[in-house]
Amino acid sequence: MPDRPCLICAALALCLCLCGCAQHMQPESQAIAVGMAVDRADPGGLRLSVLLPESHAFSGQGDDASSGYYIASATGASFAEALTILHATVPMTLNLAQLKIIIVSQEIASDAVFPAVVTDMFLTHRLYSSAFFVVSLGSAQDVLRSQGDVTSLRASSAILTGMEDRVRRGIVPDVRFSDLYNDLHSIYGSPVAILAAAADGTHTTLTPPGRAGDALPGAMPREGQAGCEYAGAALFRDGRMVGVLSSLEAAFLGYLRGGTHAISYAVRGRAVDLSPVRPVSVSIALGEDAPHISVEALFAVTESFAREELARQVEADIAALIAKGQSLGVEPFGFAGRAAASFPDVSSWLRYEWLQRFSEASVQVRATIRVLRE
Amino acid sequence: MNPLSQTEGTVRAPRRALIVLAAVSVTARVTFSAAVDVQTAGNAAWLQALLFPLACAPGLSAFFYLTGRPVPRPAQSAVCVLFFILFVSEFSSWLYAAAECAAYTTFSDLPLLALLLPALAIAAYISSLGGDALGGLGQVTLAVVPWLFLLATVWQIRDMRPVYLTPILGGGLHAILRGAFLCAGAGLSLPAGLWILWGAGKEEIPVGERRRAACTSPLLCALAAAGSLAILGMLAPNYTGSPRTPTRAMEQLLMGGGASTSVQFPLMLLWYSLLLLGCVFSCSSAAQSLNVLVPRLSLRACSWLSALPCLALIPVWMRLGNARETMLAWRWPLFTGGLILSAFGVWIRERRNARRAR
Amino acid sequence: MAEEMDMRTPVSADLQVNRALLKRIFRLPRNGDCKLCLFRAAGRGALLCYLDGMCDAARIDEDILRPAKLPLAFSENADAASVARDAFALCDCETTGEMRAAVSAVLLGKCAVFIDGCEEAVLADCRKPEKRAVGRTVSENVVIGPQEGFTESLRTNLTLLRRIVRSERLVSETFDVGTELPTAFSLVYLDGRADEAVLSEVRRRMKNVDAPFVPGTGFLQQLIEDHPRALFAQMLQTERPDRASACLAEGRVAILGEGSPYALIAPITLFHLLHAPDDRFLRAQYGTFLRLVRFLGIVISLYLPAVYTAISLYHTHILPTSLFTSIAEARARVPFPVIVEVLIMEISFLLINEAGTRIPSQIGPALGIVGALILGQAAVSASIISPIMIIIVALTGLGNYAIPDYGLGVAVQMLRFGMLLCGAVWGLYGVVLFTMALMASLCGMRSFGETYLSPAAPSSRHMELLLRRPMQERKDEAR
Repeated sequence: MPDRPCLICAALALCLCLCGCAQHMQPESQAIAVGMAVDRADPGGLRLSVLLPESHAFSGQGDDASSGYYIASATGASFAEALTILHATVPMTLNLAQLKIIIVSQEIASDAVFPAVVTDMFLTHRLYSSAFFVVSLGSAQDVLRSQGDVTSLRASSAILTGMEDRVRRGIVPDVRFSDLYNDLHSIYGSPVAILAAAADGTHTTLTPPGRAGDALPGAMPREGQAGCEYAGAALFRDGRMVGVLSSLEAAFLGYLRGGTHAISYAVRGRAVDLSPVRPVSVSIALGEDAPHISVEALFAVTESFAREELARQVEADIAALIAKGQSLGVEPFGFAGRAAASFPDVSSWLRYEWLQRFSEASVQVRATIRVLRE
Repeated sequence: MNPLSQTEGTVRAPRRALIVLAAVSVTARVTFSAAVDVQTAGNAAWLQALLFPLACAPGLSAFFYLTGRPVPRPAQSAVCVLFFILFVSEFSSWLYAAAECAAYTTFSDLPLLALLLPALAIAAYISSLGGDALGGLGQVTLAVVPWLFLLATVWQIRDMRPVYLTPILGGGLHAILRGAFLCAGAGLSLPAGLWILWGAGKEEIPVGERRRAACTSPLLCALAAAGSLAILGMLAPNYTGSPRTPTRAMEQLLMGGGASTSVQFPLMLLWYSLLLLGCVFSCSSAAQSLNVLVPRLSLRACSWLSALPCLALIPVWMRLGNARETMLAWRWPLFTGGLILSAFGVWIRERRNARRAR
Repeated sequence: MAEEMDMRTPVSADLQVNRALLKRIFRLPRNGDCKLCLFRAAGRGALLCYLDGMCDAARIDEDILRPAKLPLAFSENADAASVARDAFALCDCETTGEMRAAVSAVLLGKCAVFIDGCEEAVLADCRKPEKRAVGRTVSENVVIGPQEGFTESLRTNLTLLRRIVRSERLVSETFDVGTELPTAFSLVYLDGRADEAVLSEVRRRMKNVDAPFVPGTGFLQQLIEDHPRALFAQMLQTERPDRASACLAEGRVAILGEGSPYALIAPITLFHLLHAPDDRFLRAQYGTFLRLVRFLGIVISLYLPAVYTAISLYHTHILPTSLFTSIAEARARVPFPVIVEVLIMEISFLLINEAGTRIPSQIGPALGIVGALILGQAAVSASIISPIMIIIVALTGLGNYAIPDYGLGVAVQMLRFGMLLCGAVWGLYGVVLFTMALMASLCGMRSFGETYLSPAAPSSRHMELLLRRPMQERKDEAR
């Protein structure tokens, strides 16, 4: 016969296991948010939207015409208030732990309220940090709604697949929510975000020959089922969005940050793929007034066609990109991290006031093009 | 159970296994302390961990001297009282850390007591099992934890930026040295705990094991902790140049930067295991101290008598917020003082005996 | 009391006294098994006592009665030893002056010959008990390797061991264990290789067994183990002579019992319960691979339901979104919480498992159909459980069946429930807590002085954990 203490423990254990029976904790009782969008609301405050799958979406019992996803939104004076209302109005327990994408409208990103929104997001329990962070030109909710339109794939998989492909091509930078939050408060440089826009097909612009990468999202000359476009990057300074980069500029940004993805380029109207032979080589000479930055880029191409002209063009594009950053007062290129290594501690680094000195820095760019199989 | 003597050379003595337990616990403590509790060095926390053995040198030297000879009863009792109090408070602080860790990653609607009680019970139960169980648990943990850490590291390689470790001195040399001493407060539980678990000076310990405990193990702990902190430091910048809140720091420890949330699986297992092992080490050290003071009490009774006062201390931690840093500051002088006091007592007795012999 | 006095009585020189004593002891004429046969030998009266069925009647006739009846078989004043030497045509004869020894010998299947005028009885071994032939093993099947298994006959089992371990150093010491109904057990070891401390401890424990009746090795194991209340066995039960021989060669001891087709091996570690008998007969690479598969099976069996419950209740962010969505959709119509669903399936699986063991073989196939239909199709169609639960339980069951030792498999099944409850209450934190308590308990256990988790804790280079070392490296088979 078991001892009495063992029986008591067994009875307690059996009662305690009922803790796992609370209905709100069961997987089927949770509304899994796949995406989130933050817009300015009329007349004021923020509108918070989440993309939720419908319960019958993949069990074959729903209406064929439905996308399988719906948008739930709430408006509040701040992100936290809007989230509270959303929790109260979504019919099941809202689960933000599976977010794949967070979209903030340009209006919010350019506003002084943006750092507070990001901080509120960060402090939200179980809003995890690995979602892609996107700034939309126009309505963030429209961009979010278009995520559910991709057929044959679940939205979460479609978002991940699409974003990873774009990052691999260098069209957009690889920016997660944690990266943005860290860089917003960082002493090393300026944050960036992915740029996107809902495409209604009415504002397309034909890009000049050889400059296909200059197109911004929302104005790309294309047709198709996808309701939104991702290309380029948003630049931030002092917690506010101050500029945008096109997809080509974003590709070079990725290269300067240490990426080794191939860049789709063109010279004399002819398409070439620039494959980095090695990560970019950057040397920074810290001067008394302004630093001197030397950038050495080494690319490989598959055929020898106007190599010198190509090299000069690449140098010009990279220099223009850095100059754009200097003019906007941002430094998202990763140079700060390299410069900081020369300082003994954080306080001396902070005294140097890198951002201000960067805007006055002299930049020298040298690009070399090598031909594969030469 | 009927213990049999083992053939020498086929099975290592439990003392060595206890060294492993102590070393793993201390590595975890130093890492946790530097990453969460002591924030001033920023991403140069790994340097704090590398320097902590230097700060432990007086205590380690006293430990090496003590374990080579029996300790007189008065000194033994005095030190055991001191160590009992220190280890009980340490147990409660690590228990609180483990429960906080669990509460963060799982749910916020269960009271903290529901998370504390099972850990307390398990720690008391394990410490009541005695030397074989403790040593074996340390060795099993040492066999498993590096693989979890390796898995989590490989999973997060995409997010690692070596530049986050620059500037190399982070918060400054003063902050690093101060942090090294605070980490030494956590690290000194290695010699103190081992002295108690090895019998609190009842027998002489072979010089090889003393050397392993006093020299090799602290160095290995320092290297392991420094390596872990360097990897953690590469995951997120010390972006403001000023200390993160303990909550943010623990979040960083558990979230693994910006990596996929799947990486939390090995991270949670890693940190739960290490924090609970730290609780077991503290509880067993406290229980053994009490057993030395009151030999009539069984080890089981001592384990539960060491565990239960922790419940009274937990509300103190909750009210004081992050008092672990303050506690660490006191630990160094108290642990070092206790060890040196014992060593002094032994030295006096030896001098007296030598004089009598003449 | 009277019975005890009868047993203490020495053998009498008076045949009639012995006859009366034997009738009382063996409850004659009630007891039809015991035969008392009076005969005359060399002019003297003699009494043959044996148990019907346990002796070879032909041998009794040929080797005892016929030679004894020869006129000059032995002299008039011959004692029992002379009679045994001169008259009987049996090599295994001994004499005893104690009635207790004579009765014990008869119970073992020997026959006792009492001679008028002798104060000793001759115990002649002409046993031929009914026993099962050596056949295939039941619970330790292998793909490659010997197929013989132990039987219920202690003598046969010892013979099987001696055929493999042909060494003069192989010693078998016989003990009678049981205070009222003794059972014969043999302690077998390689002299010079087995640890003397372990041997003396085993002897001490076997001699100190206080039970009235010990019917077999399983029973004995529970009486002499270090931790009888622990879930994990500290002695290995094996049906295979080759495995027992290998353990003897490693310096361990084996205990065989009359009536038990299993040998007990000690001391052991947990990893002995994980190693399969045919690991040794395969190449090192195959053996290692299969051990890893088995280890994976154990981990799945122990942890999968608990981890599934913990993650789906508390740590959903760990799951990929598509998997989490699939789980949620699969459970949309299930009326029970996750923990209840898991418990229903686990208990059903255990019932099917147990029924399958007890069911007669003629209707065994029907059980498979019932199990598959009820638990599989019908339960899912009725939305009592979700399809993913079928997969979880099936994998768990397969992992359990991969465990070579039956006892260990049952222990894992029991522990699985504890792990499941901890996971349901505290999530992965509870799983880690339970695992630590379990590991600590295992580390604190010993098997006749050997730590139970060797060579993992404490570490030792001479023993195998999961990797099967090539035979060329196994120069020293000792511990």
